[in-house]
Amino acid sequence: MFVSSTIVACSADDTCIQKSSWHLGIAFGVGVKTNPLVDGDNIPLVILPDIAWYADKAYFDNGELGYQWLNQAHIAFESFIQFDQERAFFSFLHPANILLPTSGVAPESPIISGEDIKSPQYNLSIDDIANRKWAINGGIRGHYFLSNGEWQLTFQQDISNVHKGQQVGIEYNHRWQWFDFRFGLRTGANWKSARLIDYYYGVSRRDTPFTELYFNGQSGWQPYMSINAQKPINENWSWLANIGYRRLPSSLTSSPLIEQNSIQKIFLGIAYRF
Amino acid sequence: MELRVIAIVAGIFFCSDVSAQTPAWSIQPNICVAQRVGDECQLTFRIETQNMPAEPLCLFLDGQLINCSKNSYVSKETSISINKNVLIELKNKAQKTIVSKKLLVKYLDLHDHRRRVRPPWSLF
Repeated sequence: MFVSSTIVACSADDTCIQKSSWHLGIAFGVGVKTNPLVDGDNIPLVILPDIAWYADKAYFDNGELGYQWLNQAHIAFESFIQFDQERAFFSFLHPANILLPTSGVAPESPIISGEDIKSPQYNLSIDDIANRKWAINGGIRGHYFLSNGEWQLTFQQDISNVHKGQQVGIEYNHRWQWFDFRFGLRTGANWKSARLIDYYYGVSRRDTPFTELYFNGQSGWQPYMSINAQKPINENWSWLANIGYRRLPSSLTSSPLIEQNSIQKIFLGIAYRF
Repeated sequence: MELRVIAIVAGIFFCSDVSAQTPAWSIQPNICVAQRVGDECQLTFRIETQNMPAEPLCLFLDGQLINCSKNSYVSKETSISINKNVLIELKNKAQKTIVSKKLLVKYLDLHDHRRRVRPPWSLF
């Protein structure tokens, strides 16, 4: 096996971008992002967009709008806003919403006292709970760049007053090249506050009268790892593969809304860069 | 005292003997200068070799075969076109790398490009 490790230059790869021009790409393939929620649908990854635009300081990158205050050879610092991704698990294409009538474990009427009725199950379908809103996070992020890698430290706060929670992230990503293949390894952990966890995964009277299902979400760390591989075919087309794993803490998986203790993601496809 | 001198001389001789046996090469120039990021860069370089094994050797650029020689590698000029840093290797018939080196691309105009904050394809 001929293994080489070369520095991935800031060149034709996707990590550098020309200023003041849209960077558009679309990938087609097969993949899935698992949904840890009870009755939550796995998110099919069939079409992946890649949309970015950068000016001197301001930028838009895959849903994140930000302003980079500092951009030097080894360090960078920006502030940004973006949607809190937690909400995505509650809304994506529920077959139950499309094909079947609701048949959850909890009664429809919230006026029935949970003390009078014994629930036969301890899980609660997301089809039967109160609506969770999208939150908008404002954040700051610092980068420390190495020759082939990068450290990131991120803090985010809900600025939309939906849950008023915070999250902190630490990540290391490493890039390398092997023949035509470009690889990226990301590993890190997110700490999510009790307010954030409790808003999305807590269960209270807003969701069900069954008090035995009530759950107070607590803060916790979510470690994760992902590997990305890309092999250019020609100037516009390339093969794209991604696999990722995120571990959910017991402070979250104890929720009756959760039935899996991890989130997995896999995608294999072909990408076109405009 | 004599023993120390003998040891030093023997050490120098041994080291010089080892370096004499080790295959080595130089590539000049090994940096290509392009106008801006993404531009193709034409690089014509000359390879000088020392102590190459007496066997057929082939030159590879990021794993792609460039050319081969029937016997010990003969120094010559080679022209390539690159748009990123690449690894150049000299391998024998058994695909064992004898020597290797990076060829670098530098840019005159880096101001119209920026590092992305987020990894590509990270919407989901």
